[in-house]
Amino acid sequence: MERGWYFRLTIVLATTLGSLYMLYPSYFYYFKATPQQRDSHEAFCAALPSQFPCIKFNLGLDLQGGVHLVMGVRVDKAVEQRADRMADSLKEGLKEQKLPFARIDRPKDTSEIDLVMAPTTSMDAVEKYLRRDYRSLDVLRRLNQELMLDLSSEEKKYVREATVDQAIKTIRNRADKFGVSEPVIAKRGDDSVLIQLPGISDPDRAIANIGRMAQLEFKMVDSEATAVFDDVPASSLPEGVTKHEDSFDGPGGKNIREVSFLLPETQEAALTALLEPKLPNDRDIGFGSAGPESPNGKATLVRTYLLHHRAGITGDYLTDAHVQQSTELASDYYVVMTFDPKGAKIFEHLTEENVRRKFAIVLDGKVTSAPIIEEKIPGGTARITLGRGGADAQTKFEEAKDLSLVLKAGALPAPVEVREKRTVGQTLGKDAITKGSRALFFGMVFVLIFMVMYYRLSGFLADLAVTLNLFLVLGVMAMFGATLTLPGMAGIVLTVGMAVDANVLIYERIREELRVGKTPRAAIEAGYARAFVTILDSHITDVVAAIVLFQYGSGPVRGFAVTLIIGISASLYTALVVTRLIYDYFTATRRVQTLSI
Amino acid sequence: MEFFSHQTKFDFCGKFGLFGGLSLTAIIVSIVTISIWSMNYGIDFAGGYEIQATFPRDVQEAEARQLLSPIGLTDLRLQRYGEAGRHEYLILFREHGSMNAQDKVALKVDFGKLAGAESDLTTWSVAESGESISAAFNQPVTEEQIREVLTRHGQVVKDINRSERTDKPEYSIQLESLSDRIDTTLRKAFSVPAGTQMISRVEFVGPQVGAQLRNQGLMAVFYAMFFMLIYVAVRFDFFFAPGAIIALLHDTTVTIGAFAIFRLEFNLTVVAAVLALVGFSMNDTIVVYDRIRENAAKMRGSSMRAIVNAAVNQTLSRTILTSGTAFLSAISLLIFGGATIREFAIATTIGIMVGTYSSVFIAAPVFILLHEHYDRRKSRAPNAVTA
Repeated sequence: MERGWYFRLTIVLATTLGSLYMLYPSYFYYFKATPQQRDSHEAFCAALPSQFPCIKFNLGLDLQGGVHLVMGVRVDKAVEQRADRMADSLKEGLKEQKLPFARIDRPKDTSEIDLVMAPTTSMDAVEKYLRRDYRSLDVLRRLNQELMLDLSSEEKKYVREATVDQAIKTIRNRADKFGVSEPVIAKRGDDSVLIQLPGISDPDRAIANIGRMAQLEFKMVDSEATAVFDDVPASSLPEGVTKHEDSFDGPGGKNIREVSFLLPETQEAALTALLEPKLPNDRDIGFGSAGPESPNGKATLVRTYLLHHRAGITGDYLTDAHVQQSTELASDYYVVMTFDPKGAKIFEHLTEENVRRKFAIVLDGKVTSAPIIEEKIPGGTARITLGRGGADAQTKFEEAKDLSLVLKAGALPAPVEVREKRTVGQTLGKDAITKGSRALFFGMVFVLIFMVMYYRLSGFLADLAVTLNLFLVLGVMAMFGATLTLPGMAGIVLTVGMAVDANVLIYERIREELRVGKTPRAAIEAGYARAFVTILDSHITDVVAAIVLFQYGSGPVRGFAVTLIIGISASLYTALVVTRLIYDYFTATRRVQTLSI
Repeated sequence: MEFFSHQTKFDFCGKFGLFGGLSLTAIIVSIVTISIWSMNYGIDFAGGYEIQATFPRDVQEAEARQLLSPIGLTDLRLQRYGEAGRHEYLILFREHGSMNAQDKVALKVDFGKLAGAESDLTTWSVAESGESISAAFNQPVTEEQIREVLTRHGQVVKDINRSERTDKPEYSIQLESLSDRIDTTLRKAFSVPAGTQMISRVEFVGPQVGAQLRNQGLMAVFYAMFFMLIYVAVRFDFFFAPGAIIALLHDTTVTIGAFAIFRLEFNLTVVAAVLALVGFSMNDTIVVYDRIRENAAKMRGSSMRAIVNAAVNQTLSRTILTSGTAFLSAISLLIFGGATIREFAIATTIGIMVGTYSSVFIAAPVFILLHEHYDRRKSRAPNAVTA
């Protein structure tokens, strides 16, 4: 055998073993792993024998069941809200500049601001002020003492884009709470978000959780007033609720005793009903996580906070939040949040009045964190130090990151609405897998039998190539973590039928060459050489169509494009290299006189 | 085994008149049908609700309407689905969600009355799905009043949120979804126990997404053809491209036309199949073209007609074989693949047949016609530059 043959043999063996190696994790995941091992990526990686890479192909929603949503973000609303805020700030600004105005209107369903100045105000001074401090406002027209303003088109564009981006962040944040191991959240088009939640069966609960008009608020905790809970008899508490006491150094170094309740989430309503009559005016009961999950991992315990009903400041004023490492102690992290100028003033005032009091960060009505205000905070930048004593650096960092995410992407910036909603039940998914596999099996058997009947031994070679092709497709899909859908399975079935095309082209050519009297070896040589260009040309058109389909499609259809692209490319290799290798072996060593073709 | 033991010598090019006429008729019939009857668009393109449910017994459309009329749903279509004997159905609401246009108008009128006049309703929007509403009033309006109006309209309120941002009452209301309302009602009517799953699939596509998908699908088919044209023009030459594209237009038109004529559901997977067909049909055409090019070099002196005829005959057995294996795959999809990909399998099966036919009977003859036309012009204009 020539040296080139051994080289090709090595390549073929390597790709074959390689694809099996890539496939084993998927096999392990779908056929051997326990539900716990399938629960998260980490658990799966831990359970997998260490010599295998932690990769697999995924099943589409149509095969494993789940929820597919496209949520439209009402960017027009966000633009209007921006205009609202701009009008508010304009009011303050004009007062500060001593430029008296008669009224400022915000016409409905537009982003315009109608500004009517007092008869004595110099309009030139107003316009000058606007040009200096409100560059994002365009003057539409000026009529005597009236100015019609609108957000500039750049500002509108910016607001729209930022709104969608922030909506995606928020939705991702909320989707993580569903305990789905691999949620897909992606931007789709200009103003929509694609959400895929595998394994979830109730889309409406998901929509309710994702789409709620949530708000980030900062409310003061009234720890002093919790004394009213002292006289709640333990016997009257709902099941699973326990009273808890804490103390810390409050305002002026005075020791403050805080009474709270620890309870499972399910008892929130019952406890609220019990405590409500005792509450002072303008106080609410808030709930927030009471720390690490309970040992059985199921029921999360929450604790109560006594909150001022009125929010001290809302998330609207927040411009940024990020994590920073402490300069003094490397294992300490804190969250830095920044307010806009107006927010900074409110925040300074709020912190000045409430030094050594707790300040609750409330998202979607839930207390996510309640740090103590150490001192008056001017300048609009605040640090929240995370210190649940004893936690390791990693945990502290995660906590800080979560909090910054909550702060940054806490509230949905604009209302969202459902534009597309598809749910596939898990039984239906299983049914689809069965049917898809059956079609794949019979499709393959039909083609394999036909090839052997028509081309005898050569047909068997082609069959080997097609079978290897199947493993290559799945192996490559696993390598890239691609998603297998029902149309994707159909794509594999079709690829099997189309993959033999390359072999057919070669074999027909070999037969022709034999017919004109060439020796088997020369016929094979000529067959492969002549067919090569044709195969390349025709496969390229298949792949081009599949790529266009990939660009266009979404969800299941995209899965079809993926298997088609990989399958056709792989068939080029299996037909040209793999079958040739075997032919060469026989013609070189056995000196065959006739070909079984 | 061989289908053709000897080299065939069919005169494909000579019969272009017959097949050309046949194809032209098929295309015209397709176009006329599509423009008169339109397509039987599936939910992907038409928008609306599609619910797959298994009932304990057979149900007629009229009965389903009557059962669902108490919750205001009467314009549904009921369609048998999947294997016989499983009492599986599709409940279809085309082009709208939980509320249709009239429902929405009626609801707005009543919300307006709550506030006094309709002009006091400062914000009003109902989501495409008809399952969430946001409304703001100039007058004080309580949650109870809103609930009362919605109940009167047959809706079930899931969640009401009052926004605290402004002083005007602003509500965002989440209503129970159409599928849940149907599930509750029909479960009671058929006394299906709580543990059994009755609804196995729910799909809602809003009109915006539907229109978007339709446009994108059209663009995708267009792009695929455009790229094919470029590829053929670059890889072969000017004479080859028109035949290939006419063949592709023929294939897609006839396949889509078949869906229109037989009222088969035209959905996303069918577009996918049509795109794959574009690739497949092109693949066949290119094999023939490659042979024409090869023969043109070998058979110098022969007429173009003879060259093309030889090429088609030489590749005939390959063309039939590959189409045959692809056909076997498609048929097994059709038989075993189940109802979900039935339309896809049908489109693929039709596409493979049409695609094979067009490479032999359309792409090659159009190439000859163009060539002969050009030759005649060249002989009429003696000063033309010879290539």
